[in-house]
Amino acid sequence: MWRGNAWPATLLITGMVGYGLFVSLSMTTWGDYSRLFVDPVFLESIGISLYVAVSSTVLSVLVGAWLAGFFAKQTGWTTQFLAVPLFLPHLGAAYLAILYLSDFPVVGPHEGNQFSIILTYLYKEIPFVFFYLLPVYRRLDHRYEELGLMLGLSRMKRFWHGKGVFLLFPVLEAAFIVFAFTLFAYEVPALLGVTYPKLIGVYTFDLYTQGDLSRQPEAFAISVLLTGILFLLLLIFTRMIRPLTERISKGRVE
Amino acid sequence: MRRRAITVIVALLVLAPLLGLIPSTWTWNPRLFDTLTTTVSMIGVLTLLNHLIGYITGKAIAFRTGRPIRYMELLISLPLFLPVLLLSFGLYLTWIRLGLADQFIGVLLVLLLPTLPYTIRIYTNAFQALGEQMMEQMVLIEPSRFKRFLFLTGPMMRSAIQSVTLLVTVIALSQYALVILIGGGVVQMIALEAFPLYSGNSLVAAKEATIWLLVLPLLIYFVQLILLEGWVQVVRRLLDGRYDSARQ
Repeated sequence: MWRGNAWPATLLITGMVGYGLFVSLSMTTWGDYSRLFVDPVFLESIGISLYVAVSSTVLSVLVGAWLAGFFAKQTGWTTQFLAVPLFLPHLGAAYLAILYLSDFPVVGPHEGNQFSIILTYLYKEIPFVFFYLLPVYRRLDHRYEELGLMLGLSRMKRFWHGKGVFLLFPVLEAAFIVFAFTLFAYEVPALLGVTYPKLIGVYTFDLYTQGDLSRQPEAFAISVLLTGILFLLLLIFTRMIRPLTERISKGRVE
Repeated sequence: MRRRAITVIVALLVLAPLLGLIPSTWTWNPRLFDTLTTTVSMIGVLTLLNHLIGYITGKAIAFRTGRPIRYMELLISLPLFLPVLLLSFGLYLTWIRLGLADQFIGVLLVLLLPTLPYTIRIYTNAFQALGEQMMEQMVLIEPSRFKRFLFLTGPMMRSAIQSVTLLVTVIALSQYALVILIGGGVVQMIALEAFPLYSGNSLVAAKEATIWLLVLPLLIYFVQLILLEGWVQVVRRLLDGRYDSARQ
């Protein structure tokens, strides 16, 4: 049996990601980076982006995971309903926010608290998390928990050894994907966000496309810096957590 | 009882916002319509590429073992965790040098970044669900690779094929920043026309754009559903007990 080949995809993706990063890096000097760390506009933009990304991620993962756990055994109609937002692109979801939230003072678009952006992300990401985790919940073996019950473990320990170990990595993975997306997305914040501080995706993109050429190295520097930070996070994530979950779920002696 | 209540709440929260999209007056924006050719052909080629690369890569990740393939898996999923839009600044300069900027193919290549990792993941899961023993059995039953795909693997992966097409369509439709940067406004996808409408004052024009954005994935999804259904019907008719050992 032919076992497939991962080389074309690996070369294509790594080539584009690596080369994009390499070109960005070659366009910057050390001065650009040191200027970034003291640039109040950039730092404020990072702050507000983190607030939006963290709140969107935490809420959508909590709700999505809870729904997936609740409907893992018998889904019925809920799966059909939750599939509907998957058909609507993010741009369309942003329009819904403009349509419904414009008349409300606190959650409307262009409000400082960015609630409209977070709500739009929730509408799109909760179904994503739900469908990402549904197969994981369906594969869970309830016999582990029964074993824990028989051995007289506490509720927390039962949950951890029966479910938590198998859920930890997929849940964190879903959270990471949603986090990276909401942190850097352009379309939704560009339509619903405030003019100052702009979210980081909008700020950088506008800097690159609308600013004069002297501001371009700044955009490249932000690109390199943020890619680097996320790459580090990813490394920590895969190095620390994956071995842990793999070791436990394969049942080796700790 | 509690289950039913949650289902009702979910249905309300999901479906109620969509009621605002029901058109009250029929408008027809020719500029949106003009972008459809590029949009549909882009999505068509992009989806085909995704299926092709996703299939062979997903198979490798599911059935190969060893260290190299695990590293490849990590490298392939990088665009899910990294800011693709920010990386495209550097790519754009490269595309200019290669003559791919402002070209259909340049946009196509860049659109692979946000779509392909998902595709590969879906195919990997589909192959893992089929399992190695099942694949080995199929080789014994049907030695011809083409026939094996037509009769067995393809129909068995129906749900994976459907999810991939849907995801690729929806992601590609939503990309405004990537397409305007790499395509330079020359490659006219529907998001480029829709986006300014949203920041404008006309809610009617924006609504029409949104309807397009929702109808396109639905249309593509149902066309594919009919095609796949037809495929399965043809397979059933062709097989028609041919491998049934009870019929001598």
